[in-house]
Amino acid sequence: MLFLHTTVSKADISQFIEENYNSSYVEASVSDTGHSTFDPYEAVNRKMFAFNQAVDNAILKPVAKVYRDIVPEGGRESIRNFLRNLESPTILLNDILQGEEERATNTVNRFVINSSVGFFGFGDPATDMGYQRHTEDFAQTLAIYGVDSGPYIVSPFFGPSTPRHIAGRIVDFAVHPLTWYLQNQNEGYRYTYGISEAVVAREELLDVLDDIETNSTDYYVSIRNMYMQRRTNEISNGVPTDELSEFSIDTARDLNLVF
Amino acid sequence: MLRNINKYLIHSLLLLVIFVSTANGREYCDEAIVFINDVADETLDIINSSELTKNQKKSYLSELLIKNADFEIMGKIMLGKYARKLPDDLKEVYTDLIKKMLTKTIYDRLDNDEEEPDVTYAIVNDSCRTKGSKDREFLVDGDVLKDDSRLASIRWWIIINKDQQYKVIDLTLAGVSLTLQKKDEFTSYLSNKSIPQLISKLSKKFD
Repeated sequence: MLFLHTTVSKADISQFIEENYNSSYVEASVSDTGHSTFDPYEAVNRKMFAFNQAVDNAILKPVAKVYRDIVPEGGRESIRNFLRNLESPTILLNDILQGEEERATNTVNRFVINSSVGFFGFGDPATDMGYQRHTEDFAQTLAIYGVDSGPYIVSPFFGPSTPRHIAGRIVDFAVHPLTWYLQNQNEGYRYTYGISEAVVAREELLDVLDDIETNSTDYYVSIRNMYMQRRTNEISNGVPTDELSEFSIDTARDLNLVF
Repeated sequence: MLRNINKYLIHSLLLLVIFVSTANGREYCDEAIVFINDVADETLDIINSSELTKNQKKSYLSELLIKNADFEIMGKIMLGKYARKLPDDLKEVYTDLIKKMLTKTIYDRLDNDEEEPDVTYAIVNDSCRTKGSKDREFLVDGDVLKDDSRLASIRWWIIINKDQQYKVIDLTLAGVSLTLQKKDEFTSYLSNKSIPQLISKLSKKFD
């Protein structure tokens, strides 16, 4: 009855649990994993996730922090805009493949405006003119054509993924005009582009990932869940899907008995 | 003849039941939108305020969350199929930890957000539908606007709780549902650990 008082301390809770519940006590009657993401390679994925985290902590995160410290927000935003503008050909191709005429027109307008008025894409006047940025990639196109995502996979260096997403990344890379252009250039340019993308993306996620890590009981599962939810949202072009809305207190077998 | 009248009566009754149920759903939905618009307005008043300090904003948002969310239901959803296994003597402390966890999540988010004095946020909630089978759950969909441009979609999952009050039990922002994310975390953890162990872990993290 100790717990009827809401101001019990952390030590009280731990002590109460230790005294009253054996540490090997598990909810024996529940046999399956109870989570919805298809992750049959979880054991391997967790190892790969730990490897990626080690690389991130040793290299990428410190570099992203230094980048944040030395480049002011305005400068970082310009660099983000520039790199995003370079993604336009990929987005346009996939807009077209998905039959999204309006979004394709939007992408062309954004590219033309930002590359000219926006000084090679460093500025983003297109957004102020009402042409909102959106993303598309070949994996999303595959999803639209009905290709299943497959199991959740943590790929080395690239992180959360699925076979569909990996295939999409390869196609996006192969058809991007910059890939062909950089092939004939100095090796340094190729690496600079790839590294810049990684550092800029990591800097943008510095606070978000720190928050998730601090506030989650299982960082791996948090990232997996967020990745799956975000991808679903991107595929549906930001429109909430009915998949989640089917989950209800009244209809979920595991919940309706406790209310 | 009698059989036909009976058939007619049954059809009429069925139609009446369907009509009444739909009408109730619509009426509750209207109330749900009013409720959520009030919550959204209060949230935006705090976030957009140029007079409040960051700490005051955090404190007011926390109060708003406590007033309008049902942590008990959220906590049970997060436990998923394990909800029935929650020991009675741990229910209250578990719900309290869920409250602390969600409040801290908002605190941390605000701590990291850079001040954008010239930016104004708005939330436009424009559609609602009932969910489940008992006319007590609703999904209200809308958009978060930043300086009149669409920033992200927002979806509120609302319930009429046992005290007949509208309460928020989930927020899906840009496609990521907070409650369902935690459900995934907790049920994954509970597949090889116990609820007391989970509570112990939560208390070490959030108490």
